[in-house]
Amino acid sequence: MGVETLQKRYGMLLAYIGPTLLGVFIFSIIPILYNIYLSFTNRNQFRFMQCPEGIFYDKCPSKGYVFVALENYKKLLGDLIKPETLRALVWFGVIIIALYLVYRVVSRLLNQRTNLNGNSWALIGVAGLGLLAWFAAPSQDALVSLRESGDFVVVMSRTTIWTVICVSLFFLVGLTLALILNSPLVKAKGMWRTLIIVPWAIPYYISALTWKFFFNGEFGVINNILRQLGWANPPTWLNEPRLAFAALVIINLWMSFPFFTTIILGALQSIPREMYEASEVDGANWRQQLGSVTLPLIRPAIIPAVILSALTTFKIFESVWMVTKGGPFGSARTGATEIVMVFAYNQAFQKFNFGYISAFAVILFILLFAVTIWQVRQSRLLATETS
Amino acid sequence: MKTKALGTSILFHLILLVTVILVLFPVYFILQASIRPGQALYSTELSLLPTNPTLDNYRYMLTERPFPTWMRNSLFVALFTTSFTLIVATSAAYAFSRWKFIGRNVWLMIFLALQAFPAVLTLVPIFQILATVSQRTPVNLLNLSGLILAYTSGALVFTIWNMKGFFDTIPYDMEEAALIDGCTPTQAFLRVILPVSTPGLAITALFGFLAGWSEFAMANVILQKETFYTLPVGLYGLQENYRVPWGWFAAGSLMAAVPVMIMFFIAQRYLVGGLTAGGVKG
Repeated sequence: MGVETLQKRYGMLLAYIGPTLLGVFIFSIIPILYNIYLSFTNRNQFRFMQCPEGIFYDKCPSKGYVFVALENYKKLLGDLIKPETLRALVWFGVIIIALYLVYRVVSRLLNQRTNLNGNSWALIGVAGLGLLAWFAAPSQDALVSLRESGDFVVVMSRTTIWTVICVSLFFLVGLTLALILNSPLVKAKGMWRTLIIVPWAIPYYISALTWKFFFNGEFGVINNILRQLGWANPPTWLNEPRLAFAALVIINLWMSFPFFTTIILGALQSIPREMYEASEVDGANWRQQLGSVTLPLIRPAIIPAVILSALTTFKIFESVWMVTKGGPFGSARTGATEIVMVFAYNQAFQKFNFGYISAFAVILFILLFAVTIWQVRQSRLLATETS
Repeated sequence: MKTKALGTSILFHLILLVTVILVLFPVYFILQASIRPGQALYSTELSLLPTNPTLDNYRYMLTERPFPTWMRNSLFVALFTTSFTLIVATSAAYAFSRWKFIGRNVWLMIFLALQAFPAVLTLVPIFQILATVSQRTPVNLLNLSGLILAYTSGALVFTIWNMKGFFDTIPYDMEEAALIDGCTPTQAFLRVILPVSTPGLAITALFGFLAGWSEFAMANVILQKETFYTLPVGLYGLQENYRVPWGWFAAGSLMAAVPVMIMFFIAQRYLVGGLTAGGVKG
């Protein structure tokens, strides 16, 4: 092909994707590079001189802060290399690998020797063992030394726990409702479906602020109901670490389950009826049907949604910040509901530790970058090319 | 057998009923708070609706607060974000779906992986960029137009991935026929592919609109004057006082929520097809 047509083709390509590249460059890549640069400086509230707007440092003398090489990274991760924290990490690593091996062996044995559903029973057993190991003395010691190693480990583990709890609940509630809505026994499906997605349609800041009021200790609707039911002194939800965390899980569940119900219902509706009829002929009960027909068939549609939701739940900011601002802040260095993005916001906009939090963001970015690439491969999102 | 099915059916309907009550309760709560006289919510009366309902809160929000301005700002931002996203992202998604060029998959991966960066920490640099442009050039971007640019860029990645997945499901034959008939590739895209992509476009438009209508953190940083406030910034501002004026907040929230709820329910039938076309196949 001639040079002219080649030029024309690249011109057209540029016209189609050029604006996107420009937008991504200005609003994603430059800010990230800027943060990487900041992560090597000691910029913080004292390195501003007089800063009239607080955060708008363009009005500040530019030499307020200096280059400090890896200081911020050392502050974040340095304590992880101490012997007792390393020992703690190794301890948890060994436990996780051991539990995994036990799971593999037991589930295979159960599957071969009995006609129980080996995977689920083995999973329940291993979960029990995991709980035992968690409360064993060495684990608790290891936890203490990890907790003392700095904000990074604490905030990251808190966010991981938050994500696992939330996404499992989204999935369970979404699956249950989707199965019910897909059942031939249910009347007026359209109406139920429309009503159930209401939380998805409400702007999240309205939901978050309304729920914040519901959980208010003195006047909140929830405590009013509890008082009517005879509980004289119901807890002040948002002032107690665990309850505040639980309240946020409930709020987030309320906002997110409609997405899961919709996606799972869509996947369920694409399963041909004959598959169920065949399994009924084979005498399968509903549990076996769920395990061997429904779940495997909706898997390809559900996995991307679950991973996507896990990433957004991990990175959630506004609806948590609006309810608790990361608090309650007790004696610990971080608030009880300070998950990564809330922590990042508080460090940047309340404490102005820009250098420190930029280093945090860079480490987080590397981790999430890896997870994202892994999830794309896992869910084979790009494999559709060939078709 | 028959009675068992009846029992299951009752159980299912019961679960649905409880879910719907939990889902609708906050909506009902906002509604009753908005027509309650005064700002107090603390009455212990158990009647379903307040005894002397009034539209005072709505009147106050519409006449004595810049609420209509906030609404106009939000509408402006949401509409422009939606149109820009549709134009920019849909054409890019089409190129990524149909044309072979060097680094095609790498670009898609990079776009997605860039999203892994904590968004709240891009707020300051983005503000810096917009402020610098505003100072050095006659174009002022520390207002709604800067917000539109930032939102559009933010919405690009999700939209490109979603629309690319959608275009991938449309067979090549459709354009081939058009190209043989003498269409240019752009004509084939505009006249053949776009018309059959309605579900994907509807979802793209819906989410673009929702993002522009409801985003808080970036608007809170970029918009400095009250006349530029969008609905979330304005309504959140009401909350910041020591005593939350619940009646006003409820009336404003309801007026902010109803338009998007209507849009959402209109677009509802496209939700499944428009969202999962890309991910499901394979």
